[in-house]
Amino acid sequence: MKSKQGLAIAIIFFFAIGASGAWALAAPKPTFSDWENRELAPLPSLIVNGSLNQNFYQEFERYYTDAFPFRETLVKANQFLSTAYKIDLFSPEDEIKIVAVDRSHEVVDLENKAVLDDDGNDNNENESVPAFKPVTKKATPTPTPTPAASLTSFTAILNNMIFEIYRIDQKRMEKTADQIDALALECGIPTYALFPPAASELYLPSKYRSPENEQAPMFDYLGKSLENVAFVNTFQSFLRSKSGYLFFRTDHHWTADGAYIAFIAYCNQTGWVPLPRSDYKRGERSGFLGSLSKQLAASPEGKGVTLDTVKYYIPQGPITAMNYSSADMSSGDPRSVVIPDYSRNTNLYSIFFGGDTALLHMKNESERVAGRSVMVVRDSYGHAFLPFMASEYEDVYAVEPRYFSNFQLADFIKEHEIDELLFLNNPFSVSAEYWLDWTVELDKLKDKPEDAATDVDVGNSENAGNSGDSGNSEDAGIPEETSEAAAEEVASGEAVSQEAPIE
Amino acid sequence: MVFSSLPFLYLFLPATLLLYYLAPGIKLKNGALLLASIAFYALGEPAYVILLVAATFSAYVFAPRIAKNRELAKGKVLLAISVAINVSFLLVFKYVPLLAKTANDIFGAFLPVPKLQLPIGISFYTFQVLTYTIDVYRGKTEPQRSFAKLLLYISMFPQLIAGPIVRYADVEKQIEDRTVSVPQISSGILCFVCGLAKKALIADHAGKISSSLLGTGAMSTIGAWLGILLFAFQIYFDFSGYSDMAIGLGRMFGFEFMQNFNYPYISRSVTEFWRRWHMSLGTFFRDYVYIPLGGNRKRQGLNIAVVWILTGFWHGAEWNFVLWGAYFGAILAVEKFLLPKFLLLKFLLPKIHLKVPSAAKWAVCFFTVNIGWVIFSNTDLLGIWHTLEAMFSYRAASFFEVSTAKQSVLFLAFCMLASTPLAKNLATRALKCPALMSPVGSVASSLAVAVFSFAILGLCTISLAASSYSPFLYFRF
Repeated sequence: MKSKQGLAIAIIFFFAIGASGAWALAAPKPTFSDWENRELAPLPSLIVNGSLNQNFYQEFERYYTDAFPFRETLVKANQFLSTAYKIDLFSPEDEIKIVAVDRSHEVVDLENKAVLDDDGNDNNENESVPAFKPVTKKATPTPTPTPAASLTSFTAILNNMIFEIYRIDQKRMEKTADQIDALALECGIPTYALFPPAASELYLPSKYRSPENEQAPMFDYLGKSLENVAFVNTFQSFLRSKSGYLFFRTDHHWTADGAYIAFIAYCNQTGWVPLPRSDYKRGERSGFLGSLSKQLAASPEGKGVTLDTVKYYIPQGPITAMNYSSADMSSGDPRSVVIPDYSRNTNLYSIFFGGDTALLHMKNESERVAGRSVMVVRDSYGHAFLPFMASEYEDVYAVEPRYFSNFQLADFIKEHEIDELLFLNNPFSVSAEYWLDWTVELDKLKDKPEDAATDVDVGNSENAGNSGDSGNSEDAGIPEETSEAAAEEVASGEAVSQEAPIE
Repeated sequence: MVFSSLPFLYLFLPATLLLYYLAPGIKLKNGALLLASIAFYALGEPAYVILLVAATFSAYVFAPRIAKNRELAKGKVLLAISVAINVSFLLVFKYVPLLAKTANDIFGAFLPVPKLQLPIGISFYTFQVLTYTIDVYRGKTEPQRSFAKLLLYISMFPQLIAGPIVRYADVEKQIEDRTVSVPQISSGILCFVCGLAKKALIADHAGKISSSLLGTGAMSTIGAWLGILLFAFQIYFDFSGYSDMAIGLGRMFGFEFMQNFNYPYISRSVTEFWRRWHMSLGTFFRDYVYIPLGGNRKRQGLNIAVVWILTGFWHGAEWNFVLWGAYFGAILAVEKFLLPKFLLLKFLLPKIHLKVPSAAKWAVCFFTVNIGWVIFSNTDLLGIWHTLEAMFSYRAASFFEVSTAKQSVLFLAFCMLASTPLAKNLATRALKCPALMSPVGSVASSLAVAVFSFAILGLCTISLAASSYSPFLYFRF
């Protein structure tokens, strides 16, 4: 009898692993996941550059797991089953639900086509608990992902909107500020930095946040500590227009309306009068299921969140855009600034430029903007922002740091005679580790004559629009109303999408 | 490669089992297992296979010479050289970076700090090699004539990277000859599946929540306590899950390894805890360090100190692990020397009824162990201090911490119950119930167990497919 009992388990177990294993081997291997909008890990080769691939197994494991039969179903099943871990006996009727902790970034940044993990391990060899360290480092994917695994405190749903609540890391923030400052000094042209507030900062009641999540002190710090860079503080503008549809409910990006607020704040600071928004051709696409909701797609909490609508503004005029993969701009492919009939519904935010670009160059032949050029160092928040820039500059160069491990920013700026520099990034990149790891040789800079720094003239909050030296003197003196008016427009029903604003 | 990964479960394991069961005769079966084991290690650590083979080879060369000279001083010298070679591997690859760094910090020396990746499992297999050579010297076992068989013992993949620390004397006969029976395979499968569940379904979740709470700038009292409790369960389910998987896999290949965990969190004293926690390590230090030093007979205090500092240091090349070992050494000394004196007090004052209830003993022990985990989980002293400070003073909790605490109550209760023998006892009793003794009942119960293990495998697969990767905690030791 006893041996019969054993037989049943043995047969079922061996059949389960054997049959699934055979299936996994025989089944066709997908290379792209539409659902997550990312390339799946490829089958690694054993020999790389003539020597044994030391990371073969790690890469193979990623490939195998990515290609596992029914993976998507399994992941969704896990989303559903995971709620069992979080049964709250005490306040089941809470208006806010925490749906994920800490590592949610692994999903969020899938858009960057790479699973995030703690890279830079080598640098912190002695700082972390050995017991917690991953066994082996994963292969560095291209583009280099922003290691942000520990950046999120948690993800929560409140009033039909999904929030990621971020942790501000003082040290990393200081490092970011230093890096930007040093790059600006090296480039020697008017430089601006724009980090918008996070959606949680505007729409999540403060009782759900802790001091380490507050962004206001971060903006104050950046405003005070950046010496060679004018910090464009958009916090107040966003607060004023908060009733608008500025951030997606289901995605970690801002909407074009959110980007427009930042754009107006930027123009105010540089002292340039932009075209009114009525000059743009506008439209919208509905049914956008953003990155944040994908991670909850199958969980009971995630079911109730309404899909987003992606609104777009198409700049008019003789504008062309090219995407280049290298800094010498030797070979490029043309891109549309906005693709209204973008075909993949899974990531409608890619309606702008068709998604990520490495080094983007937009050219505007219009007389009005002749001679104006700007370099934007940006991440995907730039997608919704850059269409507005296209109307206002003859040349817009936009570089994505994740695609270039060592971009010679100063050389590039000199070569193309660019006269403005803007760092435009997502709200939380400030304290993300190494989002910008182009090291500037600070020692080299110290040897430069003192006046190298003083040559740089940038407007800052106090004298926004009044700076006569910014090269746009005839347009200087923009009245404060511009930003107010724009903000009003955004907040008004005309500019806001049909979705009810979140309060 | 880790056991809790899809390529292991659905590619490596079925292929190895197929190869193994198809191979006729013990020789080919051993060959198949050796091949699989070397492949297993080489996939994870291509460069360090050489080290593993070198450690085995040194033992292979020394053992017969040690055996020949057992009674002589020469035998002792040979043993000392052999032990020194193996320990030096461990020292160089695990501790030299820390020692060099510390020397630089303290003495302002400018020693180069080598950047060595720790070879996976070196702490475990070095100790296995030591049990072999020392037992040969002691005459407990005879030298292995076949290098392949010795290499099979050292490299056998189920226990290669995270224990249990199997002694050569325990598996010597099994390597020479073994049969594998259906009940053994099925109990192995059940053991493996339960271990997998401990790791993939309990430890990983506990770890995720724990790390989101600990080590942040502003830890609250609730957050620190919850974080440490979850860490305690994470490390237990992770490590004991790994041992269960190792034991289960061993059985599938006809091996019986020693039990490594025996429900440590039900202990009512720290002495008992250490008899139940990582038993193969505890008995290793007892038999190969404590007793040779003199044990209870001479310099007992010093012996306890040495053993516990070494035990701590074995867990990782950081000074907090030394502190962790010293902490337990001190508590064990208190339990051994001081507590009996208090009991004497009871004897002298018989009128006072002094009986400590078991629940209180358990609570004190569990508390003490958790303070230990604070030391264990922070590599720097400041981190230990911050955590303790948060635990023992009042710090208001953030919304996230309160909310996480409320959501974790059920999970914590489940962990607590799952770390006792309750479920096992209930299942054993249920299977013994008379209704299941009938032929029909027996089939029903066997099917129930089969379906149970299938369901667990399914849940683990779902969880593994979803989580990208989460290595074992004990890997770095």
